[in-house]
Amino acid sequence: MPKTKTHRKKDGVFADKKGSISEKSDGEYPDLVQRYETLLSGLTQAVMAVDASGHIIYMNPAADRMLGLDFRKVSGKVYHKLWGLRDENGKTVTLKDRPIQFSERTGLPYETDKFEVMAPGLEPLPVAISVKPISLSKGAKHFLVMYRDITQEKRINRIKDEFISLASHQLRTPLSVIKWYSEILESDRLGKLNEKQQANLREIKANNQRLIDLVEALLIVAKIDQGKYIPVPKVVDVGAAVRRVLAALAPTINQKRLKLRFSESNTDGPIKIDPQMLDVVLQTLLSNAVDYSREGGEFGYKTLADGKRLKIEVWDSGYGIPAEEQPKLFAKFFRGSNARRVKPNGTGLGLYIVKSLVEAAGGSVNFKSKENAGTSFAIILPFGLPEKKS
Amino acid sequence: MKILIVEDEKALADVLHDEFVGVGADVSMAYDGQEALDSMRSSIPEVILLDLLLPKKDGFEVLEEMQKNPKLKDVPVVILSNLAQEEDVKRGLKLGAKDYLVKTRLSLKEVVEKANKYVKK
Repeated sequence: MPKTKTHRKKDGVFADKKGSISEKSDGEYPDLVQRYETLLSGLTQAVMAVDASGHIIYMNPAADRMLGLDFRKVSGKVYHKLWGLRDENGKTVTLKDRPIQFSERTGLPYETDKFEVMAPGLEPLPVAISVKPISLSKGAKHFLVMYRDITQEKRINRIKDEFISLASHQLRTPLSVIKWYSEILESDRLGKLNEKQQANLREIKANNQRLIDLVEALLIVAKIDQGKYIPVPKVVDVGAAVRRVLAALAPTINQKRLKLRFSESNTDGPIKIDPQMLDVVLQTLLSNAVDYSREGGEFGYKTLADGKRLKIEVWDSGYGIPAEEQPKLFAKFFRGSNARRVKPNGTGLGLYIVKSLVEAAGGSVNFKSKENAGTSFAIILPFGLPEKKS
Repeated sequence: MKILIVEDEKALADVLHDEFVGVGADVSMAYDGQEALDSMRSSIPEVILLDLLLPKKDGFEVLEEMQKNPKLKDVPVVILSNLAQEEDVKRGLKLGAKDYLVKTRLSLKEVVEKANKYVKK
C-alpha cells in the first residue's frame, strides 16, 4: 500500500527514537517488514505501539481512523494527551487507571471491554482494549495496544438483556397466578377438597414449581453465558441451608426409604459466600443424590469450613454415571443415559450451573462415579470475592 | 395494617386483595402508577406493595415521585414484581424501597409477613 510506504520512508515503521527496529529490519528482513506492515494496515482492529513513557511509535491506519488522527503527525507524541477513555458510568478514566499505565506498573498484560474511547471531535466509541508489554528493541519496554470497536456487540447484548428481562417477567406472571391460586385452593378457605382433588392440586403445584425452577435456571444460564454472573458473598448459615433443602426433599426421601447415613458438618465461624450460589449447589447435588438413588439406598453429605473456604461433599450409592459419559457431565443440557431412564423430565442444566457458578466464585468441582455403585461430588468454595484476573 | 396494593394484573390484584382482607388489613387498590400516587396522596397508607411494570407511570416513577414528596417519602414500600434482574433490584432499592420481592419466589402467606414487617408498630 502506497500510504504505508510513505509512513515508513518518513518515520520508519516503528518510529522509535533511535529507529532501531526500522534500521535493523530494513537491512536484514526488508520483505518481512513490508509483509507485517501490509498485514497491520489491513486490520480493522486499531493497533498501536507506545514506549514506556507513552510516546506513540506506531499506529496502523485503523487506529488513525478510530482516533481521528494521522500517525505521521502524532508519531512521538504522548498518547494520553491525544485521546481519553471513560468508564461505564461516563467518568473519565484517570491516567493511572488507563490500561497502558496498568501494564507499565505491573508488567502484566491487560484486557478490558468496559471503556469507551474519547477522541477529539468524534463520538465516544465502546472498545475492547488489549495491552501487552513487549520489547521492540533490546532492553526497552514497549506496549502493543489494540482497540476493537464493540458497538455492535454492546447493542446485541443490550437487546438480549432486555429480551431476557421481559421474557422472564412474562413467564413469571402466569406462574405466580397459578402458584397463588393453588395456595388458596389448598388452604380450604373455599371449601374442603376431597382426597382426589387434593392429589390433583398437588400435581398442579408441583408442575408449576417445576416451571418456575426451570425459568430461574434458564435465567442463571443466560447470565452465565453473558459473563454477567457476579457472586455477592454474604455471611450464610450453611446448616440451615442444608436443612431447608432436605426438608423439601423429605417426601421423596421417605417414599424411597433412603437412609441419610453420613452427615458430619464442621462449620465454625462466619462463612461468606453467595447465598444464591450455595442454595443452587446444595439443591442440585442433594436432589440429584436423592433422585438417582435406588429405593432403600443411602446418601450423605459433609460440610467443612476452615476459615478461608467451604468444602461441600455429597455422595450417593445410586445408579452412577457411565464412564464413557463422564467427560460430558457438566455440559449444558447433557443428561446421562441411565439418568434419563430414571428421571425423564430433568433439565440437564443443574450440574452445568453448579460448575459455572462455583468457578465464577473462584472455586472448584470434582466428582467420582462408578456405574451402579454411586457418585460423589466435592465442591470447594473460597470465601469472599474471587481474585481479580488481570 | 393500612395497605395500598399496586398491581395491574387483575388475577394477581384480586388474590392479593383477598389475602390481605382475610388477615384483617385495611386494603386500598390501584391498578396503574398514576392511580397509586393519587390514592396515597388522598390517604397515606402504612405500607405499599408496589408492582414495577405498570401502565401510565411505572413503579420506578412512582418511587421517584414519592421521594420528592415530604409526606410520602417515608412511607415504606415493598416492591412485588416479577422483574428480577439485579439492575432492577438495585434501582428499586436505591429509589427508597424497603424490600424487593419476586412473586414466583414467595407464597401469599410470605407476602403478608413481609408487608407486615414494615408497618410501624
